Amino acid sequence: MDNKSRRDFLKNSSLGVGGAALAGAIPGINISAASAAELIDPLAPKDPHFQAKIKSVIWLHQNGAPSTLDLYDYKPELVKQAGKGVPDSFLKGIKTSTQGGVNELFVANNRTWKQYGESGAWFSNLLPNLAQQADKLTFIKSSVTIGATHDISILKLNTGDLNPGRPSLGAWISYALGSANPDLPPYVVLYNGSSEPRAGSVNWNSGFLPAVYQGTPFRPGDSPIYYLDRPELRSASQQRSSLDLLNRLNKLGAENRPLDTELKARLRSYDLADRMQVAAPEAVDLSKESDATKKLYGIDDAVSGSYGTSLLRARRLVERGVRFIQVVSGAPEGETEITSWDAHDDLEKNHNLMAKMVDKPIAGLLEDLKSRGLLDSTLVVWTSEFSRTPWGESGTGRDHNPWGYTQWMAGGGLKAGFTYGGTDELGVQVADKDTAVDTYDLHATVLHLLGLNHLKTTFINNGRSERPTVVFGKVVKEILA
Amino acid sequence: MHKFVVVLPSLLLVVISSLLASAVSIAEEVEMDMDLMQTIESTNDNLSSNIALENAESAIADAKTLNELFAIVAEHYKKEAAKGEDVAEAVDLSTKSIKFSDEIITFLEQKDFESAAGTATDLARSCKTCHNFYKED
Repeated sequence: MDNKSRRDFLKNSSLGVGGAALAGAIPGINISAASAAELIDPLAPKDPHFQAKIKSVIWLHQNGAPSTLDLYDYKPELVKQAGKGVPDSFLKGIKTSTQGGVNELFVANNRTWKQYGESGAWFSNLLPNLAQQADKLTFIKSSVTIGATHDISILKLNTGDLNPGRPSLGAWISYALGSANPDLPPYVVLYNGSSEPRAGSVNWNSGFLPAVYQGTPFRPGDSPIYYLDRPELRSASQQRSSLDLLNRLNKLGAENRPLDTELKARLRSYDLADRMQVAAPEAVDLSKESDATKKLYGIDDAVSGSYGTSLLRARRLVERGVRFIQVVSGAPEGETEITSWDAHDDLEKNHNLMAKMVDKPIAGLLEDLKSRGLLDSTLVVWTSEFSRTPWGESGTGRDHNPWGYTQWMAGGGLKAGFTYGGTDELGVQVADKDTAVDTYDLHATVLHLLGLNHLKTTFINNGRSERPTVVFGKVVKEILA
Repeated sequence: MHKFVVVLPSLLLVVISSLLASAVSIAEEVEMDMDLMQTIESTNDNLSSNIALENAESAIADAKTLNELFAIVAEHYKKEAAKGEDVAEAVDLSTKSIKFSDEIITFLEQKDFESAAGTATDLARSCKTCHNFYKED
C-alpha cells in the first residue's frame, strides 16, 4: 500500500489518530459522520442531544459561603428559639464540627423579613434590590453538599469531586458544545478583587479533558488576558504578515501530513490569539455602556462597583456567545479585612458588606438580561460551596452548613417565581431527604437546560467512560417549565 | 485416664466451637469494613462506565457483584437493628440497593442501557444518602 492509499484508507475508515482519540467521546457525534473540521478543531460547535432551552450560563459563585438563613430562608421558629440550645432531634444523622460544639441558636439583631412579588418569596433586609426580582427566581431550598474545608467543597461545587483532577462543569460544556464564537474562549472566569479566587485554576480546569476546554480567567482591568497584548513596538499589520507567512509555511507542511491534528490545532491557536487581541478587550470594555446601565449594575458605588463591573462584563460575554461564565465573588475595591462571605464571627458586619457588594449588581444583571431579551436564553445560577448553621459560632458568627441551604437559578426553561424543597423549622438540614439537591443534581439540571443529557455527555479516560456527574446526578425536573 | 479421654473431646469441641465463633465474627467484621465499601464503590464506578460503554456482559457482572455485596450490607444492618441499634435508615437503603441492582440486571439483559444508567444513578444516590447518615469521621 503506497502512502496515498494508506492515508485514504485511514481517512475513510475513521481510524486516524484523531478518530481513535475522539471515537465515542463527543456527544451527539457519530465519529464516521464527524466532519474534518470537527476533528481538526476541538472547539467547533457541536449539536446538543436535544433542543436546548438556554445558550449561556452565568455561574455566580458566592465565595466563602453566605448564610442563606440570613438572606432567603426565613425561619420564624429560629427567631423564637434564638438563644436556646438546638434540640437533638434536629441534629440526627449529621456530624457537626463547630469549634466548642454546637452552640445556642443565633439570630442577628438587625434582621427583618418581607415577602416580595406575586410569588411571595421571602427576602431579608440584606437584599432589597434582588428582592424586586423575586418573580424571576427559581429557588432550590433543599441544597446539600459535602461539608469540608472551603477549598475542597468549592472544588466539588465546580468539578463534582473532592479531589483535583476532574473537569469543571464549564469545561464539560465547552467540550460538549464547542464554541459559539471563534474569536473568544467558550468558557471565561471573572472575578473582582486584587487576586485570583481561592484555590485557583483547579476550579476551572479541564481535568482529563483536553486542555483546550479549560476556563480562561479574565483579569479585572482593561487587559483581561495575561500576555495577550501585542507589544507596542509591533504593529497589527506586521503581526498579521508574520502570521500569514507562518500559516503558509505550516500549510505546506500540513499538506504532506493530513493527519497531524496537532499542527492544525497550533495553526488555529495562533489565529485565535490574534483575533482575541481585538475581541477580548472589546468584550470587556464598558466605555460604550450608558451611565444608566452602569448605575443599574451598581458600578457608581464604591462597594458594589467592582462586582458590578464583573457582571456587566458577563452580560457582554453572553451577548458574544460565550457558553459558560464563572463569576467568583471577591471583595469590594480596597477592602482587605472582609474578602469573602466566610462569617465565623461578626456575621452582621460581614454580610452587610458582602450583600451590599452583590445585591444591586445581581438585580441589575437580571433586569438587564430581561430587558434585552436575553434572560430566556441565559441561565443565571446563584450558588455557594455550602451555607451556614443556625447556631452561633464565636458569639456572633455561624459555622459551615452543608446539610440544607438555598441556591437559586433564573432564566430559560425554568419555573420562575418558584420554590423547590425546604429545610427543617430551624434551618439545620433538608426537611425531606427525597428532595435533596446535591451538586451533581444541579450540574445535571444545568446540562439539561443546555440540551445535554448528563448520562450521555461522556469521555473515555484510561478506558473508563467518565461523565460530568461522576456516578450521580438527577435532573431536578420539578423546577423545569 | 478414662475420665480424661472422655473430657478431652469435649474440651476440643469447646475450643473448636469458640475458634469457629470468633472466626465467623472476625469474618463478619472484615466483611463490613472499609475494604468492602471500597469494593462496592469501585464496582459501582465500573458499572457506571460499562453501562455508558454499552458493555452488557461486564455491566451485568458488576451489577451481580453489587447485588451480593449489598446483601452482606443489608444482613449486617438487620443484625444491628435486632440488637436495638438505630440503623433503620441503613436497613432501608441497603435493601433498596439490592432492589436497584436487581432492576439494573433486568434492564441490561434487555439491552436497555438508558434505563440501566438511570437506575445506576439511583443506586449511587442511595449509597451516598446512607454514607451521609453513617459515615465515619
